[in-house]
Amino acid sequence: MKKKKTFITHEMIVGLLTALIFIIIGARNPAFFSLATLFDIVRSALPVCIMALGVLPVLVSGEIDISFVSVAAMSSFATHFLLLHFGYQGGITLYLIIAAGIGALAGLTLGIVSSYFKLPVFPVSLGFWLFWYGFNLYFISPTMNFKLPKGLVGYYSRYLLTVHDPVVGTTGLHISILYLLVIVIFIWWLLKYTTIGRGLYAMGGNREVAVQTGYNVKRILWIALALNGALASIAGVIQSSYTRFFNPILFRGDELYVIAAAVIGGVSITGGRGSVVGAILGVFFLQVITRGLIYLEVPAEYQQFVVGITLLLFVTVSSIRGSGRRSLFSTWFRKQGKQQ
Amino acid sequence: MRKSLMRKTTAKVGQILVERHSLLLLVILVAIILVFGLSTRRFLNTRTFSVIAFQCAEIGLMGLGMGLATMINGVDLSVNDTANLSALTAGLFLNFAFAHSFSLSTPFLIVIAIFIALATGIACGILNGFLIGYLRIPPILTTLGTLTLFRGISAGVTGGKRLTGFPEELSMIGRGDVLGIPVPFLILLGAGVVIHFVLNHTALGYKVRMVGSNVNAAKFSGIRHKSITMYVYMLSGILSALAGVIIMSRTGSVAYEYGTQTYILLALAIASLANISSGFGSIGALILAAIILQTLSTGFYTLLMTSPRGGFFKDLFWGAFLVFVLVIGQIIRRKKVTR
Repeated sequence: MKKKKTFITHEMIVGLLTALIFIIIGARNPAFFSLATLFDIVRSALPVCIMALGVLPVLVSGEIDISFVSVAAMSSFATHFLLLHFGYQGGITLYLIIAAGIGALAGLTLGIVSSYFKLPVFPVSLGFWLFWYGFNLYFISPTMNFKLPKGLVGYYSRYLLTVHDPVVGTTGLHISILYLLVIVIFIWWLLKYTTIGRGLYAMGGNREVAVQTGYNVKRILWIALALNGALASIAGVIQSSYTRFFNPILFRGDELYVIAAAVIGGVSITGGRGSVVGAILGVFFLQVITRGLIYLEVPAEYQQFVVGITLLLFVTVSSIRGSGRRSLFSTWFRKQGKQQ
Repeated sequence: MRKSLMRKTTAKVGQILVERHSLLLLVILVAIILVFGLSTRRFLNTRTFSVIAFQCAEIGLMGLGMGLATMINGVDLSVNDTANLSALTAGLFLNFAFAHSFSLSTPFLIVIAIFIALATGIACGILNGFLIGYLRIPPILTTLGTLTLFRGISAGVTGGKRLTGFPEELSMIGRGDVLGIPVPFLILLGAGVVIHFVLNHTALGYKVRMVGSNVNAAKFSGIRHKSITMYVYMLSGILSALAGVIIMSRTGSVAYEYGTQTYILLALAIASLANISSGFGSIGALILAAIILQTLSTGFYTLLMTSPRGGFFKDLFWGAFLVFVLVIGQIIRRKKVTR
């Protein structure tokens, strides 16, 4: 029996569209179409990519967690004040380790509270979203903190490859892409080659069946949520190092952007579908569009509108062609074949 | 001998409270008022209660919309941004009318503006209802998308600035009172009565509850669940638009970011506190829940007015409180099942 082959996947479509939009906008404004702009996009997309990779396992399992942004803010802020207290002058690595630890604990708390009281994760995560921001503002400090340790100064311009561009200036491939590569490989391996990853997809597909099959659904969810917190915290530290200050309300409001990016990249909100490639492509798609809007001199206030309508269009088109891995083209090709 | 009598009475009272959820909420409300009244002298006066009555309508109406959506197994996260967008269209009309000196009297213009706001609310609801009911897109995702869209439209059109310059008469809605009862509160009660009537005494309401309880059974009973979904989200849109009009009238301005961080949580908290579940829900409980939350909000504001960092404590509190409300709601539900 012939196996149904997926001709052109959702991820390929997103990738193609991203490239297309990049070229179109570049045609209207040539300064956009350059290696320097590409490197800039990579650098600004990096924290978002890391957060999207964190959200990916949670979305695949069928749950939604919004609190990762405030966990990122809380852990990066808390780590900063902790290390300042001890007069730390080193680089970013210790920040990342401590913040990831705090973030994992916060994510784990969310998981434990939700599963103990058998609540869906989404409303609980809304509560935690507000809670961690309040925690930052009330217990730590309501103002932004600009005191950076020596090792963190100038982090924004640490490049692997440097590029000089007449319009954009000096930029390059940022060193933090190494962190992204490690995380990408880890998440890819987790989703594809471990029982936990398989369990996530099973949970997302049909939770009851997953439970009956013997997956420890509670444990797997805890791991996914802890990972979400940890990765978001890493993204938070990197973002704060870029901007040279630590913000108690870091990423506030950006949670929808990250989830929209994941959904555009083919991650199903009801669970059971999603890939690392898709999540990253989704982020780049949105980044190219929003940055392109700036180059096209569209006022900044319209950015949210564009994100919203892009998300809705994608979701509408996805649902029109129906759920399942078959893409629009493969169905069409199959029909053609049958008519012979 | 006495101990077992006490235990029996407590069990009996507990049973009644669990069964009639509205009664439980009333008890909670009284308890909260007592706690705040004892904690600070500034709480127990007519001014505080007046503030509560004036302000509870905004989240109350949004909570009603969210409750209706929850009743059919969905959620409407776009309530706040629908409210702001509806207020925006009404505000733009008013400013346009005054700039071009329409020859109609001001109250008449305000009525038209309100209708424009309601129309916008219906349009937003139709978009939600279409995507959720007909295209079967999950409600969380849809309303996340539509809330971003509506907020984006408001942000783009206003350029991030607030819209002001409305006529005096408009504030009658948000700040006026009839025989001592604030107008917004009357609007909330009126909306509650209408929706209660629709839900419990009309065919449409019956169908809504059927669809909420069991979609498949409803489908096989001949109920067109797609159009029922559409109606529910349209209703939610209208309620949100009403809330938007009240906000616009009370604050005298339209801002695209008004309430964006807390109102969704409050609406969710109201729906959860009122123990709304698929197909079942009491409007009375929803309104009581709204009053409770507003009382808490005002109470904490009164309590923390003197504290320097008091404002930031609100976030902390509301986050923890929402989780607390969800947990309590779940515990109550479980007690009902095991009875």
